[in-house]
Amino acid sequence: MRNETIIKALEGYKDKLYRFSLKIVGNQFDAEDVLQELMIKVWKKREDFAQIENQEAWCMTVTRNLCIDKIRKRKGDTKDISDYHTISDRSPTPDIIAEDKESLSMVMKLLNELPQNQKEIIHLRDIEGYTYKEISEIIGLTEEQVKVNLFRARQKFKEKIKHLNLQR
Amino acid sequence: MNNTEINNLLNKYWNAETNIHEELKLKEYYNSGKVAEEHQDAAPLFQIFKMESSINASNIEIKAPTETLARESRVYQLNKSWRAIAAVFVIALASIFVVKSTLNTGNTSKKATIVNVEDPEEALAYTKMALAMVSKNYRKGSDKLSIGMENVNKMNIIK
Repeated sequence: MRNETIIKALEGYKDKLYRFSLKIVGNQFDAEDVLQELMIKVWKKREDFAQIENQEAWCMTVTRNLCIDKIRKRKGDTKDISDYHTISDRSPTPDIIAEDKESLSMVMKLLNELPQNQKEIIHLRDIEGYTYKEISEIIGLTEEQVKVNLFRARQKFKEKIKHLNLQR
Repeated sequence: MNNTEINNLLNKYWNAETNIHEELKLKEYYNSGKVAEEHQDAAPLFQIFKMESSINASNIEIKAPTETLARESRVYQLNKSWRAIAAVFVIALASIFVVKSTLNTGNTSKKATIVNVEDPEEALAYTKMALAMVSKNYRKGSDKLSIGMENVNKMNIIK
């Protein structure tokens, strides 16, 4: 596959790859590093890249795996992926706090506290707009498992919002 | 969309029953800035989705990682060529060894040839010739030995 074709393809979804990476690793330096590593992987595979049915989903899967590797290296152990949410937590940004949006920071906190799978699924569905099939390809779960996880995550939000309203 | 439609969509959304199209409708509604009071509860969630989806990788340039790939391929080529050179060298050495040993085998058979001489005078001449050759080589050896001994003695003097 020609370099220009690969560049054009990656340019089309590099923002999604970056956001997904940022969501998992939790800081921009590691997220950028992951993208560089992804580019090397893509170019190493450039002969077969055209044969990949869904190149975007493939890149997202590779990005996810690279992120997990990065977190493992950072932690120096091989804990389960579900333990990683504590590392990749991102605190509410100062501008949100400055805006005095308590509910916004509460929702963001809740987003960060979700189990890793649910957090990734919410991100892929509600921020990136992927279908269940695509999410299942990226994360390696069945479509049913994706739906169940999404349901649980959204229910948590619903309850939290209800709880916030009762407090007011 | 009226409020009832939004309520229905929101219910479906919480139960993960909405499709992509319906979720887009909800996002559009919450991003429109005209959100009804009764739907304000879910607004922060959609606001966060909007904020996160606006993050971009503008500082990352997509380009072929030429340096890394070139370095890797160059190392591979070097290894390959060195392997070829080593193989040629080994074959050449083996050939030389085989040719030399074949020639040596030929010489040995020549030297080992026994000549039967009937005439006593002729036998004497051969014997003298052989002894002269031995004597000549012995002298060569003893000369080299005396030169060597002289060098050893010189070294002792230096000490």
